[in-house]
Amino acid sequence: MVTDISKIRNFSIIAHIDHGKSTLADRILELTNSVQARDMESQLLDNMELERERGITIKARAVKLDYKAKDGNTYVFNLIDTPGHVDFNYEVSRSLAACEGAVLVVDSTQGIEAQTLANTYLALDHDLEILPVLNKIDLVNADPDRVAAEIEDVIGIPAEDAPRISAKTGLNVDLVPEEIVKKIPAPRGDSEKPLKALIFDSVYDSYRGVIVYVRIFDGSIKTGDVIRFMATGAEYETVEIGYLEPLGMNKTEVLSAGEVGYITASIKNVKEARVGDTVTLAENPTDTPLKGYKKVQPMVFSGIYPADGAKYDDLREALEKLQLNDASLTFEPESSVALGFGFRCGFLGLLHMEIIQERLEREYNLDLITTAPSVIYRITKTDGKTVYISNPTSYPSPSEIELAEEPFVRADVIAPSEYVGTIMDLCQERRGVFKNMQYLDDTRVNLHYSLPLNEIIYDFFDALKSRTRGYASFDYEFEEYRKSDLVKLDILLNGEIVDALSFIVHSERAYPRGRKIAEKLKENIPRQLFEIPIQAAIGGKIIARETVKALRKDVLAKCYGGDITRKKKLLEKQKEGKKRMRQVGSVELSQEAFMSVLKLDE
Amino acid sequence: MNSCGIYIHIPFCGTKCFYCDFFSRVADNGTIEKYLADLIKQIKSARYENFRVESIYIGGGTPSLLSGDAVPKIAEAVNMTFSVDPDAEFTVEVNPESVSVAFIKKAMSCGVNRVSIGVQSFDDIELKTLGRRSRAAEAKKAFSMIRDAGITNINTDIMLAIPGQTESSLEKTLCGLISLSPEHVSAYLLKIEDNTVYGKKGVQEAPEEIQREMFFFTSNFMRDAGYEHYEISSYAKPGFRSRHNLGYWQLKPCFAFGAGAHGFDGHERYYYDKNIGDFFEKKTEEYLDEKALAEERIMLGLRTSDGVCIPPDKISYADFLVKNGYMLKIGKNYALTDEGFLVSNKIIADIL
Repeated sequence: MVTDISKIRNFSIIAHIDHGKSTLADRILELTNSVQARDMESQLLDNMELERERGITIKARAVKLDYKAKDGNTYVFNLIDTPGHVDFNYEVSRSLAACEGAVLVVDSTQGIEAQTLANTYLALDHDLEILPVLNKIDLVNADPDRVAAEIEDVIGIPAEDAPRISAKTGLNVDLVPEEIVKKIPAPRGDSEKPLKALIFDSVYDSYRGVIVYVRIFDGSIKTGDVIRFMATGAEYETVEIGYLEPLGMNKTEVLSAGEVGYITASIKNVKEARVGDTVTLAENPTDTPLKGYKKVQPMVFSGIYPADGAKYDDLREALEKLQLNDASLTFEPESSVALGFGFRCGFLGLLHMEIIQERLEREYNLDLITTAPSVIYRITKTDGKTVYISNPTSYPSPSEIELAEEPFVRADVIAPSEYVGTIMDLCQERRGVFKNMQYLDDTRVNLHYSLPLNEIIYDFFDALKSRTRGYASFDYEFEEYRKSDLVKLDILLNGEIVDALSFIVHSERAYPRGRKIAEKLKENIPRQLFEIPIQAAIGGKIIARETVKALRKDVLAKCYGGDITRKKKLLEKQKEGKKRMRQVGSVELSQEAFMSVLKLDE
Repeated sequence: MNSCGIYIHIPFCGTKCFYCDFFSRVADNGTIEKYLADLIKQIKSARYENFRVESIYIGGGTPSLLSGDAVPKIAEAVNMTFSVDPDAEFTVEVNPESVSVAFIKKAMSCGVNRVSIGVQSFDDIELKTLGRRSRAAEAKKAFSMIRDAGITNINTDIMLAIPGQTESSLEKTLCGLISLSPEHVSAYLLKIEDNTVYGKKGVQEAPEEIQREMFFFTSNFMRDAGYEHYEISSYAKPGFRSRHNLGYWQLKPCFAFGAGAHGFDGHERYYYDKNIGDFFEKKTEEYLDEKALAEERIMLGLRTSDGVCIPPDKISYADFLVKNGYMLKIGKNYALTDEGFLVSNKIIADIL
């Protein structure tokens, strides 16, 4: 059955973490009777275990709902969920591009946060109709008037009549779908024109191959059609098309302009069907692809090594499998004197990196050692060549460097005004360049900074959260490469450079950082039979030194009947710990030691 | 026939010492009599074929709290159930304040030929600090009484790095021991466990350097006095190494009886619940396959001065330890030196 295009509403929900996006989505599902209560696992849209744990959406999702409105008509809602983190900005922009409107959920006890603002601007860029909703009005400290005023001031959209709801209790939630029907425009599109469909997500399924999530702008597609991905040029015969419904995929005959659905075509890798690409028909292709396609580039790189060198092939297979589903993950083999064979992996950001690491460990049961994340430095050499360096080990010697540049980001920090001083101190410490400050209302400010990316990929967000007691929110986007005074800092254990611990740092920050790292390593390196000198050095110059004292006494005085098993359990535990240790020369280094050098703001 | 040991646990004490984390409690005579009856029933119901008993050890707790008939009854039960070697080493643990001539004589009459006395220290202040009931003079008296009764193989337990202990007070204790001339001395570095009076009071162990000094001092002192330092905490005159204890470190089977006792049949490590009223059900602690047995052989063998055979892939590490004074090469075996004993946990972990 082809849906009347005027009865379709394609929208997404924009919200800050914990402002109630998933709860509202669940309520909408209930209102459309799409899901029986017993079938509902709370927060249905976030269906990856990791996502549920972290309370964030990593992959975009979509769901088709039928809503019987008060005007007597039945409307088709396509709710397209978006990832909720800056690392996945491009995916967010593609999800929004698939919609005509966005529901902006704001916690009426809090107000607008940096992430919300960034995504709202993104939605406005795509000419989406923004539908503000004030959530959590059941809480005693809710201040919907203030928050409505803030939305009007900051975003410049009317919010006076915004539904004031509690997604948790269900209060006024029924107003939301009515607003969606009234305010969000129906899609425009011509089913007679050549096919033009936007890929807003693609996931790999081991039985069906890649499942491509699309929004049809023009034309239509049916099973058996040969499709073409315009960016990659790949062509496939469609095996199945259908709608994404609350309880799973539902086959259909044809998808037409305005609709949202999925395509399978025995595609083996998500790289073939990249987010943002345009799908058309091979037989009758469109001349112009949809605007906005780009291949996302990793911003943060880190070496990932199996803790057990023998698991190198397992790690490669696991990365290959993850890549089937994640076109933005890159990896290539590298080797380290300290860590043996591993991979230099590229990520969209720090969260993306953590997620990949966690999935490798959990889903593929691998113990990993990861090196400090690095950004990409642009180095112009004295011979005129430009190189991009993502691995500190390959940083050229100072005599070969004509110009060193590092990436800067444009950052927004939103926080209560009492934290302005604290935040400015932090940004200053991180070599930030203050641009300006904007009052969102009487109590909240938005600070605009230029920050070097390498200063925020370690622990900036943690530091920001702890110094503002969790009140600050933060968002950034790439700005430009800027000239910088960079040095390579080496760490020596027992007089030998541990290549995996080297990193690139601004010269001004090198001394304090070197000292701090030496201290941290001292805490994290278990005592061994011999004393271990720890040194931080730039070139040949030692800038900091610490010593891990030798182990002097570690003995079990009594070992009879019951002591033996106890002692062995202790040994087993030590052995478990050792699995995650790396012998670097004569020194054992744990994953904690590698990671401890990252968390210096404590 | 395989040789084996027998361990029998008597979980009763007059009072609980501050450092003790063994399973023992203060109990009335009725409870003790009932326990003894259950214990004998348990021994008699055991069915271990093809083992010859080479050592019996009645430990605790404080076995000398038992009535004079108790040890003979236990011995009778063991003899009924097992084939006991006529030369078996048969040890009973005693405390100076509770041991009597009659107890020793009766024990000897049923084969006991070795007595272990909990001395701990010959410094009364240290004894008080440890929560011991007896004083130095009492211990010396008990020792002489046991010797006079005809026991020719006596062990004394002492403790190193007691809070407040100094090198000179330790020397006093060691001199006191030498004058009594026990065949065997067990000298344990005090370890403070959480579930002890000390642990709960937050008493700290002596600084590492002090512990090291005490350990080295004892080792040198005892060697000069003609004792072999044959295990981390064990010293013996030639010919008097504890066969029973060596059994643990050589992975000999040792069948255990009594509440909270741990046994080993050559493959399975098992234990009985720490429940004085009901300890009959044998519970598996773990089953050792060949790999686990090999690991335990190294872990336990490295405790002894005879050492062990080191697996080929660890020889270079062992040689490195020899070069640096942590190990000695003795024939095919590698054994830890005193310096090695002190960091043996680390070395064992590295080798396994």
